[in-house]
Amino acid sequence: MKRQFQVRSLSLAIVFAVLASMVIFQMVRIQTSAEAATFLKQAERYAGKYVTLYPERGRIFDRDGFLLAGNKSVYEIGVSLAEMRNPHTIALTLNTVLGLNYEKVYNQLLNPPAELVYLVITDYVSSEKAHELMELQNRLTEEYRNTGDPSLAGLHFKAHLMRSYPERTLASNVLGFVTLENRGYFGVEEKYNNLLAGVPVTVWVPEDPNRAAELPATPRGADLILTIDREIQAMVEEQLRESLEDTGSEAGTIIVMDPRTGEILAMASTPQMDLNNFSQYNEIYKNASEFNRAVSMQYEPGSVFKVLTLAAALDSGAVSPNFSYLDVGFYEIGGAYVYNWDRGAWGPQDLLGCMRHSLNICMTHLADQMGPDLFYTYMRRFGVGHPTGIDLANEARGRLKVPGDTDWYRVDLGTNSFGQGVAMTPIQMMAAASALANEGRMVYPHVLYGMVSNGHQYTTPVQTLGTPISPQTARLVSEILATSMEQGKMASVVEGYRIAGKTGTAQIPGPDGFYVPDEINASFIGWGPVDDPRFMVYVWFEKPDSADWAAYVAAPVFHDVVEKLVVLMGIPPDNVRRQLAGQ
Amino acid sequence: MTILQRLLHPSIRPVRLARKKTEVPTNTYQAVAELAGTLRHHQEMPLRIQREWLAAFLALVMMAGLIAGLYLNVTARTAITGREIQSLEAEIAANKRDNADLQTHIAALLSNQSLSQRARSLGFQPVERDEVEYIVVPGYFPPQAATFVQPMAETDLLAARPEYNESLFEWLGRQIESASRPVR
Repeated sequence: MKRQFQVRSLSLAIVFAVLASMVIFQMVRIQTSAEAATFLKQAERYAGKYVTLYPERGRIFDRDGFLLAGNKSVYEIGVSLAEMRNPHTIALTLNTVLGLNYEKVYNQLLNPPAELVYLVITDYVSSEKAHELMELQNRLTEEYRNTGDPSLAGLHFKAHLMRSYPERTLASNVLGFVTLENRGYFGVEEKYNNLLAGVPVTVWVPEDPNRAAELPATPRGADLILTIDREIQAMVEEQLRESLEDTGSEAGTIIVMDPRTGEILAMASTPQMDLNNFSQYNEIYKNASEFNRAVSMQYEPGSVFKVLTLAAALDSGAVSPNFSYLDVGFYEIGGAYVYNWDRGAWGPQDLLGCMRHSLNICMTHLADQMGPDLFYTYMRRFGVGHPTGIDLANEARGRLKVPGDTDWYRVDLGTNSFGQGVAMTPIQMMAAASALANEGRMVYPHVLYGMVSNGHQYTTPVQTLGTPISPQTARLVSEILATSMEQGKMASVVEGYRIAGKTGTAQIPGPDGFYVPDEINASFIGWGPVDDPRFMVYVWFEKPDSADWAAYVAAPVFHDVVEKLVVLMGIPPDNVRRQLAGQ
Repeated sequence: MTILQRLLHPSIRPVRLARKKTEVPTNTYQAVAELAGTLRHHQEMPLRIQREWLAAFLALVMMAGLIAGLYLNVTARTAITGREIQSLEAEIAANKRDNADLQTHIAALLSNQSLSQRARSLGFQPVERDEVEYIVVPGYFPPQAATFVQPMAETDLLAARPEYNESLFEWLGRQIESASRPVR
């Protein structure tokens, strides 16, 4: 009997030993087989997952450190199908809290795509709504324990960041916006998208906690500091909104720039949009050039262009400062006649009278004296027909017909001299006119003051686009313009401040190429104080209803802007400034 | 005398039993029976020797258990640390999001529109050009340029530091090298 037990137990031991050996043999066989590499790959696939770490998008500040574009948390809401207990409760809750379609969510939950274990229901849910759902989920967990019915089990919340604009519409034309795909469109967001977005890092994250390691650092995108001054920007936008209503204009643009450095202090154009609701873009704008008219919309500037013609004529020596002529009311050039704005004859005139009365014949006379080669050489030097390179997306290049072009005729020399037949953007006009306010040097207009990346600040240096005219010419033209403004008692004059400026009323060509009666572009460009320019302001209204002349539409707005601007910039009246400088 | 000493002492080593010459078994049953006979033979060994064998076996089992326990302990601690790392990573990400949220929230509270409304509700109004009086303040220089200093640059990985990767010998070499470096 004892022997029998011994035999049995031994037999059992042998069976187990054989089984164990077979297991070991099979392990060795599999690991050395031809399919071993495939199995290893499969194992690796389930041992972890590749995760792409997106850095936080860089922030955008104004020149004083106020946040213009930041980031905020939003939530992706999904359902783990294995954990889900009550699809009805989930669908009903999401319908009530988020307004999602009950039927759609319920059907999604009941009939998910094959082999799907996690179903994303919605994304970009605000923190408030997500926390409301989380709280409800916790409450229902206890309820479920007691009653076994309503349950939000399986509902998962995954937080991530998205762009947020705390100032809403402020500087919207300059900033641009970021879509859900984290790509910037328009303005700074598009121009500096790569810098702001940073570099995403893809890492393999093991499921095995033994192999867990610190995730690599993903430095946030660079923070940008703009030259925009929030206070000036807000003031300009308010003025623009008010004036747009007052003048009944279709659209408007106001730019404030420091002519010494090219820093844009404010840039506003209509319409504007709340950047947090960028989905309204298609409702607000008909085409991309409307987003920021200051850089993307080219138009015939009209008489503001005369400042460039005058500067070119004086600088080239084609005419002297003592130039005078007899205005007979018309001027023949290239077989066509050019008339003044009122079709009147203004008699003997000098350069001051030319600018004061904004005489087209005078400008044609100056351009004709210069000749096409010299005139267009100067216009090229002023950058007419070339983009300024401003660091904003979608800058239009403008158009300047020159001799040799198939559509250029001699009469164009005359019309171009007073700003018709030439297309420019407001920012091009400002860049060109900066030479007059800045001792002949044209500055590069820009909105990026500096950039902060990895603890270092890089400041944008002042760049000059060229020196089209001499300092003497620049000072002389500024003087003529300031005097003509004072003598003309224009609405743009600001008491206590000597300012140089020029109105511009331009007809608008229709689709057939002919000018449309009663439709004008009203502009004004001015800078001051004349002896030490600190600001340059450009005002442009499209198709105003209130008046037919820029002197009544744009000049008063310029005045209102400058009145507030000198306070915000802390610029004392000229006499006070001289007194203070003498102390 | 300890079990180990007794095991190692030559005088009391178990007597190697001469292998009994056996015939080649003719079938499996015979082989199994023979194996059982060997066991029986072992059972018939003197009690002292049997105890020594048992002690040796138990010592081996204890050692194996000790090693297994140590391994289990280290593995468990590594796993816990790994989970802690994962949890801390998640916490860092959440904190970064919270920071971004708070910054944006503060900016919204301090937005131009909010501040203007608050100022107006408190009875303030924008200053007009002719209401401003300019005076010279000796020694005052208005700020010329905006300077933004980021509080801290993104640091390198903690795990990239040598303490987390080097072996004992590498650490020793580093210590010797740093000790032998001349003091400046």
